[in-house]
Amino acid sequence: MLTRIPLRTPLSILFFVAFSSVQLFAQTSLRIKIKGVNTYAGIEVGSKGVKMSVIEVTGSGLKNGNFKILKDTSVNTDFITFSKESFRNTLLGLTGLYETANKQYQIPENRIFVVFSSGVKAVADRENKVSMIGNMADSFRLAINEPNRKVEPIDVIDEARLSHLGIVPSSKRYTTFLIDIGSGNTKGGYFPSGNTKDFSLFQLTWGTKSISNATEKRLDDDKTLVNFSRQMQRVLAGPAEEEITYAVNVSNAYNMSDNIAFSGGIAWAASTLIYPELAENPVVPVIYDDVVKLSEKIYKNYLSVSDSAIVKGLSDPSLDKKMIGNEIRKVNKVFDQRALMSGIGLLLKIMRQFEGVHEKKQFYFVKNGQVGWISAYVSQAIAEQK
Amino acid sequence: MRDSKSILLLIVSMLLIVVSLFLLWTWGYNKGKQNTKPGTAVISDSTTAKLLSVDSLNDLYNDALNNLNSLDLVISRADSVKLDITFKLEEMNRLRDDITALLANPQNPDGLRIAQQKIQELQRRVDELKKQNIAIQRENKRLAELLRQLAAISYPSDPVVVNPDAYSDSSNTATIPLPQIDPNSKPEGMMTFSSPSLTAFSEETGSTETSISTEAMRMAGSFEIQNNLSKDASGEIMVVILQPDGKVLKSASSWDTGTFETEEGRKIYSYKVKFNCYRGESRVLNFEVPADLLTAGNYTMNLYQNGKKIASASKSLQ
Repeated sequence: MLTRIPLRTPLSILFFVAFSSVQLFAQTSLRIKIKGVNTYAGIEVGSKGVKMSVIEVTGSGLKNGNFKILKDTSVNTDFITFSKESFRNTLLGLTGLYETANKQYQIPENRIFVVFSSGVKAVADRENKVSMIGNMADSFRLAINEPNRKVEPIDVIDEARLSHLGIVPSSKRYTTFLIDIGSGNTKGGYFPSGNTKDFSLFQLTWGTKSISNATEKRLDDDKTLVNFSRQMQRVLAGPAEEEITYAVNVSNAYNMSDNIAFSGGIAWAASTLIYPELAENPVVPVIYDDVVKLSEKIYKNYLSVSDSAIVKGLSDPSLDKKMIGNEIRKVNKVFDQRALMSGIGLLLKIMRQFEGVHEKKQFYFVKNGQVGWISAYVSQAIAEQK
Repeated sequence: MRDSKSILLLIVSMLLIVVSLFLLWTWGYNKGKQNTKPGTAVISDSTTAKLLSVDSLNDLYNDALNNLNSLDLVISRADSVKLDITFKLEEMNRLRDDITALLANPQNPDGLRIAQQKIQELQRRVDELKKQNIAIQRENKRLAELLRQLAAISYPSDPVVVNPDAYSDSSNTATIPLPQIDPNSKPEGMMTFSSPSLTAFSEETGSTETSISTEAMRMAGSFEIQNNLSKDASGEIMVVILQPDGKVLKSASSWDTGTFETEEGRKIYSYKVKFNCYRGESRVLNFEVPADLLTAGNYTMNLYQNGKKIASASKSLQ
């Protein structure tokens, strides 16, 4: 099935801009100046939509994880429903983002990379819809008039491995365990043998949304926050804890890692609320007790995590309070009280596994995790091009 | 056969009657004996004896109260046992009130007897508390001594004394404001921090110093630590580099930059230096903060340990 979209016409681009502007969600989109020859774009067709990240390689280059996120946008298309409409929307979004990178940001074709996420491939495999991925790739090639463009799905190990390579600087590469908490699952891993070929994969079937959903199912008639909190603790203490403890033990990450880095939306949300002073930083060192305190604040005094309350508490005059307020507002827009409780509950459950009495691990929250793989993919692709 | 059974029953009945009679006699005898006891009350009926008894009880009572008052010090100083002592004191106060009420009516012999018992009880408790007081005072003394010893050797929870001499031989061209220095304390038995310096380098790696902002690619600093403690030490020093606009210089790799609590509230650090230092050892610690863009002006580096500022240095870039 090939779908042809005449997106090169001004009308179609106008349509795309109107379409995407209402759905764009930028997790870390503070820097918007796009220029220079070291700019790359990565476009990922994910389960929920199409994401594009524009990065600029800085300093000592990709090998040290030195890159800036210039733009980070996404379009919700629900590709994994594999309906005619979602197919069309995904193709429209994918092509539109590609055109934006190429035409608007003037990034040449050979510095734009397109992949399908491991999540899409997993669902397509399960539902015998692998052909939809092929069709999408072909339709996209046709739409942008690049018949030889490489558009391929990446598997879960590759995705986790590339994320690690892209996010964690080389100085911490072999001592850091990276965990990406998604909405429906959690995945990550580390390099156990001092080389980037061997990768120890870590996976959980629990994500922020699945904790929330499991909690909702237990509420019965009592929909109060008190009951939500109680039932969430039961979900976390029951099947989730069992799986987390087992997965962490099997990974041997406790013995092999000094740093535990968390990425995903909840890591971004928590770090923004705990350390608003570091709102601009893509990575924030975290203390376990600070996350516990945030969890209590969200449950007992939700208003205290509002943008006005947090900004009011900032005494340093050198801080950009307007920018910080905007970031906090964004967090509260993406996560409501119960979603924050669920996500941070899961986060704490995993962190607790590494909070030893004798040996303390250094925790980090990574805000740009969703684009981390792109820098590594770019690095890999550049090496292949040479 | 039937006759023999009747005879047996008759004998048992007779025996029961005899036993009953014996028990009745025993009861009657004891009763009579008890009735003769009031005779001993003749003495208690004597007014003089009664007053003497009350006076002696009052003396005992006052003694007990005096002992009790001397224990106030224990209550105010004992922290962990305060609750227990307060509880005991409340019990004794109740006892004291009971005794006061009983002594107020010397005409009641039973009351005086009970008062005597209560005074003895009060005295016993006061003695017990006195013993506890002595034990607590002894323990306090021992703990104070222990604290004094720990204060001399403990690390890193104690305030660090910076060697004042360090500020005169700084190679840095910038003025270095003096940090908090306790003039009465001696460096011996403490960790000392000295020779803080801040430099800018023009290369990402390499050692070409620069004072021109447009050339500078990283700020680097160093300071010396001297472990004068009686044991090996380890810890963290937070480096805060303030840019000319007052903002904290963050490392280009944001993995190195975080927040920490200080006496002045939460601050952002540019870099965290972890160290180990053996007993008696002196070592120079270096750090680097890669930066994307450095502007002209004065850069100030503040070093913090356990939330307290321990040293400063500065560097001007043109």
